[in-house]
This record gives sequence, C-alpha cells and structure tokens, in this order.
Amino acid sequence: MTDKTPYRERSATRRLVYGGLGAVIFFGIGSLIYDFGLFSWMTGTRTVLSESEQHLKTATQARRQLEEERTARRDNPDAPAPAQPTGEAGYFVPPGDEELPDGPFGESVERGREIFRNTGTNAGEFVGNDLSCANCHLDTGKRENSAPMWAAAIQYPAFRGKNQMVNTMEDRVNGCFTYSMNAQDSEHGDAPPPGHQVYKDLQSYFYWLADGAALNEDLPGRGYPSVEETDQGYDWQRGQQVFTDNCAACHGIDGQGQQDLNGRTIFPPLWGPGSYNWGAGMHRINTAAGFIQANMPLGKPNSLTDQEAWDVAAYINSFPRPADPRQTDKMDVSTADERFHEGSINYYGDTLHGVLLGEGITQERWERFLRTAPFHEPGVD
Amino acid sequence: MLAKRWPIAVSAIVVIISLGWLVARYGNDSSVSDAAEPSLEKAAVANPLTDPLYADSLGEIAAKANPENISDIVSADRGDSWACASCHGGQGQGAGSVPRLAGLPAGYITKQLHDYADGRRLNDNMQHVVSSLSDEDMAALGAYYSRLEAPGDTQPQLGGNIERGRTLALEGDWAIDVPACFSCHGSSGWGVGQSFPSLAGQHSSYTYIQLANWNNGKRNNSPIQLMRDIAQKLSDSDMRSVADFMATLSPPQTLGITRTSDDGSRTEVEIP
Ligand code: HEC
Ligand code: HEC
Repeated sequence: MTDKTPYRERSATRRLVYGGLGAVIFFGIGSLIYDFGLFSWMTGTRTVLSESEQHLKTATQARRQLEEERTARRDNPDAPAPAQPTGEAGYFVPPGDEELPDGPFGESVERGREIFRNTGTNAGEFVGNDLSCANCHLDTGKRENSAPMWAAAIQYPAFRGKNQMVNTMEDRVNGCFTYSMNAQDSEHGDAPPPGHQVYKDLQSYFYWLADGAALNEDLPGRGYPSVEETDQGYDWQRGQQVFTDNCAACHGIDGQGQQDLNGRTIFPPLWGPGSYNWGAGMHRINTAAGFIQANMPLGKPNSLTDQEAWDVAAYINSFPRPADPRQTDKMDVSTADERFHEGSINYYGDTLHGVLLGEGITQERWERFLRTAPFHEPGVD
Repeated sequence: MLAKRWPIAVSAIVVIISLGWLVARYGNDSSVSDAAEPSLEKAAVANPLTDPLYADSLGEIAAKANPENISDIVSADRGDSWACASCHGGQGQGAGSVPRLAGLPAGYITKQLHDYADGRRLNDNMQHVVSSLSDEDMAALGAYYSRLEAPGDTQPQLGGNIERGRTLALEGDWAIDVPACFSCHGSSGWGVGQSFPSLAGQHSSYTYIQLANWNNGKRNNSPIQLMRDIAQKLSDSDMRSVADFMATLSPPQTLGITRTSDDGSRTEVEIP
C-alpha cells in the first residue's frame, strides 16, 4: 500500500504531461489542416465550387453534351435531336474559345469579334461616332438581355417594319452602321457597301456564337427586356438626378464619355456628335430603359427601379444627337417625325433645352447648346 | 480523491485558453467588420449627390495646386509626421503592401487622402499620416504624385493563376456579373480620367488587400459602390489571380503619349 501512492501520483503527472503534449500536437495538426484547407481534400470532397466555377462547370458540360449528342445522331439517325446547351441561369451557352475552328472560317470569326469589340479601330471607315457594337451588346455580344448575337443570329432573314422589307442579317447590320454607328459622318460616308468583308466577318462571328441554337427559336435573354410602364410615366427632369447619382461617374456629367491614355473610348458618349443618331433603336425611351435597367451601371445590373430606368432613359434621349439619315435636306423634322417616329416613345421633334430635337448637329449648334446646357460641365464655369 | 481530479481541472483551463485563442485568431473577421460599422453608416449619409464625382472635383482643385510647397511632407520626417517617401519610396514606387502612387490620377489620390481622413478607408498608418495634412496639402500631394513615373518592376507574388487574371481583366466573368476590369480601368489598365486609377504595374499584395478590404468593409469608398459589388463576387483565388496579373504589366508611361490633362484638354506630352 505504501509504495502505491507515489506510483499513482507519478502516473497522474505523467498522464497530464502526455495528455497536454498530445493536445498540443493534435491542435497543431488541426490548425494546419484548417489553414491549408486540407479537410475537404482528406475526405475526398472537393472544396465547394465558387459561384463562377459552378457556372463554368455547367456551361462546359452543356457544350460537351451537345457535342456528344451530335456524334450520337451522326452514327444513328434515330437518336434524339441535340438539346440546346443551357447554363446555370437558364440562358443559351455559346461556344468558348476552345471551340474556335482552325482555318479561314475561324479567322473570319475572330476578325468579326474584333470588329464587334472595337469597331472604330477595325471597321473605322464606316464609323461616324465614338461607339463600338460592344457598347450596347455587352460581353462582346454574348450577354443575355443585352441583345446578344446568339439570339439574333437565328432570327434572320425576317421582315422588318422599320424598313418595310425582308432583311437578311447583312441588311440588319447595315442598319446598325447607318443609325447606331452614324455612318453618315464616317470617312466612307455610309454603311459598308453590300457584300463587304465587314458583313461577312460579323456574320461569321454571330453564326459561330449561335452554334447549337435552333433556328427561329425565341431564346430567353433575347433583345433587351421591356420595363413595366409606371404610373408616373417618364420625365427627363427627374432623370437628371438619377443620371448624376448613377451614370455621371463614368459617362461624365456632360454625358460625353471618357477616353483613356491610349485614346480609346472607355465610356461611350450618350448624346451629342459622338453618339448614336436619331434613327437608332436606342433613341426610343422604352428601348433605352430596358437596356439600362438590365445592364447599367456596369457591374450592377437591375439595380435601378422601373421609374429610375424610365426617367434616366428619357434624360439621355432629351439632348441633341446626329440627325436621322432618313431625314434628308428635302424633309423637315416634323415630316420625318410623322414618317419615321410616330407610334414610338421618344422626344423626336420636341423642343427641349431650347433645341429642336432631330435637327441634327453642326459645330455651331452644338456649341450654342453647350452654353445653355442644363448640366454643369466640369472645368467650364 | 482530489489528487486524481486536478488534471481534469488543468485540462479544462487549457481548453478554455485554447478556445479564447481560437476566437482571437479566427474571430478576427467579425471584429474587423464591427470596427468598420460606424464608417459604413457614415458613408451612407455622405452627400450622395457629390460623391460619384468627388474625384473629378478634387482633380480640378489638384490641377491648380502648387506641388512645391509639399516637398518637406514628401521627403522629410518632421517629428510625429512621417515622410511619404519613407514608405512609398523616393519615386512614389511603393513595395509590397505599400502602393505605387506615381502616375495615379491627381483627383483619385486626393480623394483617397480625404477618405482616410473621413474614415471611409481604414488603415492605421495612413490615417495617422493624413491627420496632419490640410486640404491644400492633399491636393498638392495628388498633383505631385500624379506627375511622377514609376519604374515597371513589379512581379506577381501571390501564386495566382495569371491566365485567369488576364481573363478577368480583359473579358470579365459575366456569369457572376463581373465586367472586364479594363472596361473601367482603361484598355491597358492605365486608368481613366480622375476617378479610375491605373491597376497595371501595381504591387500584387497591395491590389489583393484592397479587393479583400472592399469585401470586409475596411475600404468603403468607391463611387456608387462599384468596387464593393465587384469584390464581393470574386473568390479569394480570383483576387490573387487578378492582382498577380496586374503586376505583370507596365505602369502608365507618359512619354510621347496624348494625355488628357486635369482640365480635360488633350495634349501631346513632350519627352523631357
Ligand atoms: C508608414 C508608412 C506610410 C507613410 C509614411 C505613408 N504611407 Fe501612404 N500608404 C501606406 C500604406 C501601407 C498604404 C496602403 C493602405 C491600405 O491598404 O489602405 C498607403 C496608401 C496610400 C494611398 C492610397 C493609394 C491608392 O492607390 O489608393 C495614398 C494616396 C497614400 N498612401 C499617400 C501617402 C502620402 C501622400 C503620404 C505622405 C503624406 C503617405 N502616403 C505616407 C503607407 C504609408
Ligand atoms: C464599373 C467600373 C469598374 C470596374 C468594372 C472595375 N473597377 Fe476597380 N475601381 C473602380 C473605381 C471607380 C475605383 C476607384 C475607387 C475609389 O475611388 O476608391 C476602382 C478602384 C480599384 C482598385 C483600387 C486601386 C488602388 O490603387 O487602390 C482596385 C485594386 C481595383 N479597382 C481592382 C479592380 C479589378 C481587379 C477589377 C476587375 C475584376 C475592377 N477593378 C473592375 C471601378 C471599376
């Protein structure tokens, strides 16, 4: 009995020391595992995918499935038709760069994409303003609800009320150059002539983007969404505040956009001589409201209320811009208003800020307007 | 019996101490956001009308400032006021988590100094530094550093995926509503106007910390919360990748380039 107590005591101390050491070692290992995120690796479950990785995974799978289903159908005509590749958010998934074909067609696609991205540099002789296709069709024409090209490519040829004829995709793009890109003020003085390489390259790009989409399908995300009409209607005066708070940081309080040190337009002008003309779809307040709500401010889609979207769309379309090229010298603004602008929501033909909207821009008129403009231009007191 | 129990008591104490240490170490994030809370409120009530154009108006002031009066502030330690150069380097080149200031827009720099002073951007060193600066000093410092040109010697240091960084910079990641960084920061990441700083040739640790700070609220100062919204969508590895990519690029060069000056006029910059 007498030598039992010291034995016990020693064992208690030793147990404590071992226990303590063990705890420290386990704790050390534990924090290492935590710090280096090894837990999921040890248990075999991959770390939770980030949102971006999840999207990419779904998109890649959808494209791969399309490829597999095509192959299956090639081997067996009775196999079901390939499904349209669809991403996490339910929108069509265009091909990625890894699917870009080699050879002349792939080269044409790439040229088309560069024209789309940087129109002033790559199709400069037909561009009469400071815009690029990609300014209004974000993510180089791939963004849903930003009039994506994968949705447009499968809709033409089609009859268009705007020019009362069947339009091929070339005709449609000709319209973009004529109005949105204001080709009348370009070096060439007009949109590219029929059959021009610019059309071919752009069409190659669009056709390639739509790979896997069914012809004539009305794909979700096509065009710009429409914004519900509000009780208060639209009002450019209310829009001025919305513009100052949400748009002016990029587009400038004078709406004339900004260029970078390389002279590249980074933020496009929204009115004035460098913007789209009175024939462009974006001059319609409802169209602009839809584009803006779904896409602006950049990186903050759908952050404006319906009312704010209507009002700010009215604001940017309440200022002078280049004339509608259909309104020739022989036609005055009110005739053009009746002929081309009736039945659409716009300020064409109204007199706002002391200017008859639609009469087009000359240097002298623009300077006169700037002197009385309702916005304060920084640096000009 | 007591002799048998005391190890249990000691273990209990050890466990409690360890828990305390754990909370102190990993509970950090919440204490940071607690600390940032008051400034979040402050930013919310800061004049929303002038805010988005703050850098533009400060840029106009900086264009008229006289950078000669601040040479002491830049390079001489004066007791409790530390010289900028002691941390940011003699050419404003920075290092590690201290940013390159050379070539950033004057309005942007001036705005950051005000943001530290007003608690919309938190950093102990910089908050101490700005406490002794007047509005005029800040404008003059903005003008001074905007005219310097830094050597382009930054290297990626965070082990990020450079290709992923390049994609974010040039294309964005639209699936998570992140536009191309360069669609705001300029076609080669050299900045735009007074509000959009250059990212090219910035130190990768610094860039990474800024993105992380927008996430945790220590930096709460971007116009229309543009950068907060973007940073919140980026994963940690995206932040490292894009920060590393920026460090592979050259900082803005002013030689022989048409430059939009502070008053908006565009001039051909002469080679000195
Ligand atoms: C003790 C070191 C130290 C000194 C001295 C110091 N800075 Fe800083 N500065 C820093 C650090 C670190 C940061 C980054 C802080 C952060 O992450 O917000 C910083 C950030 C800045 C920024 C933000 C830059 C950006 O790209 O947004 C500006 C501007 C700046 N400092 C200017 C100055 C000026 C001007 C002085 C002198 C009056 C000065 N600093 C003195 C350490 C210093
Ligand atoms: C919608 C426009 C916009 C986009 C897109 C954008 N930024 Fe910014 N960024 C800004 C603005 C504005 C600031 C200035 C914030 C301020 O005033 O503090 C800024 C500042 C920054 C800064 C701080 C620089 C410094 O010197 O402290 C970093 C870093 C940055 N952005 C990284 C990025 C990255 C990376 C991306 C792409 C993933 C990106 N930005 C995309 C608008 C944008």
